[in-house]
Amino acid sequence: MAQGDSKLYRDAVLKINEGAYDEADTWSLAFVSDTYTTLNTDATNPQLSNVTVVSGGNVSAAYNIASFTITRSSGTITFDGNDIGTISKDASNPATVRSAVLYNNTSTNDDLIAAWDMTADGSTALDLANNDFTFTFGASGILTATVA
Amino acid sequence: MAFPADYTLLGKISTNTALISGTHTGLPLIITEAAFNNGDDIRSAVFGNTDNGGGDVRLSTDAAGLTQLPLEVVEWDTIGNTCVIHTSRDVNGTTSADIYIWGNNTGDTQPSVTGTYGRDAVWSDYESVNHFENTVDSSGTTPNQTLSGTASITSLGIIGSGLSLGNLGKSSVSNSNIGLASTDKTRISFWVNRTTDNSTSSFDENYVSLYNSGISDGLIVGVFQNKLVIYTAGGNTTSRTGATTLALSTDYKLEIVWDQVAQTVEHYVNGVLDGSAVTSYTDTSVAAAATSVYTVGDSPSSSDIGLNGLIDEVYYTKSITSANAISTQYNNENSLGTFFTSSSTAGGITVTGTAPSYSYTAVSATVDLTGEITVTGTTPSYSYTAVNATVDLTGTITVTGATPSYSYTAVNANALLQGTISVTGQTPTYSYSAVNCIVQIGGVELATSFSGQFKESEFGNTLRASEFEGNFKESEFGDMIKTSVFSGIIKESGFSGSQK
Repeated sequence: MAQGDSKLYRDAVLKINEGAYDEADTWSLAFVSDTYTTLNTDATNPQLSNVTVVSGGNVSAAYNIASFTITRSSGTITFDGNDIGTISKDASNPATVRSAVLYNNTSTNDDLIAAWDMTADGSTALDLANNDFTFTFGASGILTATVA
Repeated sequence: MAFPADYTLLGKISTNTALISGTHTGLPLIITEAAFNNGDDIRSAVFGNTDNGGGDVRLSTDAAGLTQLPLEVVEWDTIGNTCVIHTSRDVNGTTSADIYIWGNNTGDTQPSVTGTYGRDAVWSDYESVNHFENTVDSSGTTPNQTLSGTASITSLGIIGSGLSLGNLGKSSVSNSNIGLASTDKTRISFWVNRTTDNSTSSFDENYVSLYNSGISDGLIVGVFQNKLVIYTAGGNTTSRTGATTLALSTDYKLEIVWDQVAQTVEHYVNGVLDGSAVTSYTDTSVAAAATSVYTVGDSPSSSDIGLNGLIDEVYYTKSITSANAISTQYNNENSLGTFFTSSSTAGGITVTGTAPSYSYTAVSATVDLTGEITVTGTTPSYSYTAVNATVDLTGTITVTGATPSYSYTAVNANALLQGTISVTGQTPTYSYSAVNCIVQIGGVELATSFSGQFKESEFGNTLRASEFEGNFKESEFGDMIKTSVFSGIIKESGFSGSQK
């Protein structure tokens, strides 16, 4: 387990293939107090209400991903968008950020799509009172699909 | 060369909140090499990875470089590891503010002085800024100074280089941008080190003046009998002297704030109000309204005399005039080694997420054709070729419609054709070819032809208008075989039933 690790909700893949979502939907990021390992990617209809969103100070409850696109290059389909920028340290920032989740904000139940580990050890929350915080999506994008 | 993409983060400095009073937006601050060695020593990282002259030095408020800060590089010496740079940043006395230092982009140059993050942006709230590294005015508002008399730039200034004066020297500029309106609030500040006391009982040492000698209107800031003095001329000529006696050969930061609307004057010595604020300061002249002369070091009046000593960092602003700003900037300039703490790590927390992925792979499939096969419509064609195989064609084969054509070719196979073959419609044609096969055909067949070599075969029930050609050994022809033709060799075979 490492900071930045990610996983997909399996129902999200199902719904993507069912055409439940659109590129033009609002796709959002939220920080949660749940540890990465407790986020159940095999859950049926996982939704934002299944996790504990944290906010306060300079940490928003939801970050809408700007310039969200779904593109293909050869055998790779890439879901990508802009990073959310740096969150400045503040005494009022939440002290329980452990994971980040991507969800489809347009869906009725704010369907969960993917999750990332924010902690270095799997459990210790980030100290955002004394540290600026920058979360960036990987160079490969937000998530990818490959066709063999 | 883009920032931050082409740059490397070299280190971080953070403000010491104990030296900051109040909350400030875009407060100009000075940074020297002393700031890079209070905590982690980042001087090697900073000077070792930037160009001499500082062309590739950049500052930001965040570790990602998303929020760049304006920057003026006055000095950047990577040989001596010294620097004098200025930036403006939001700071307060509660939360430490970070400044990230970037470099390692050899060959790049500082942004244009008028650019978003260029020199002028540091001093956007200032009318005039003179560091006296040269005669350039860094405000972008007032033209550059001109030296005269005994004035000269010295590398041994108070902060970096400075202006050395010997009584009759001065630096000055004449420009219509310099002026005072009657509603202006004016702050003049400078660092000074006096070699001699030139003031007398009647006349001042004049250090900084904003004066229109043509109309004898303006203000002069200097020292009178070893105390800070402001002198304003014009509508109601007057002056006020501060409280603190200023020693010779000592660095002082001296400032005055003149509020013409509130009719107050404040003297500041080393960031602290000197004595009490002067009230009812009634000179409300529109000083130096037209083309004025902004002079450093000498007097516009022939009666007065100038400075014999050093003067440095001479600033003129109408905006940044609060006591908290004055205190904070003094602490910054006077405590270059402690106003910031330095860190070798970028600090902050940066998390880069991996991209989860799912994949599609088509897997080779098993095609299973069993059970009932129904074909409706055009003429189907089935071809079964069994080579050394057991072919099991059981069940019901139903053809509706046009004339079907069935072809069964079996080579060295055991072909079992049982069940009911029913054709509705036109006359069907059946052809069975077998070589060395045992063929068992039951049920009703019409106009069927059998050719080849059939061994131990059974042709049962009703065969009408059938043709048998070939070698039939040990075969049985049963029941009703009507109008059938046999050619070839029929050996050891049996015919039962009725044949016609």
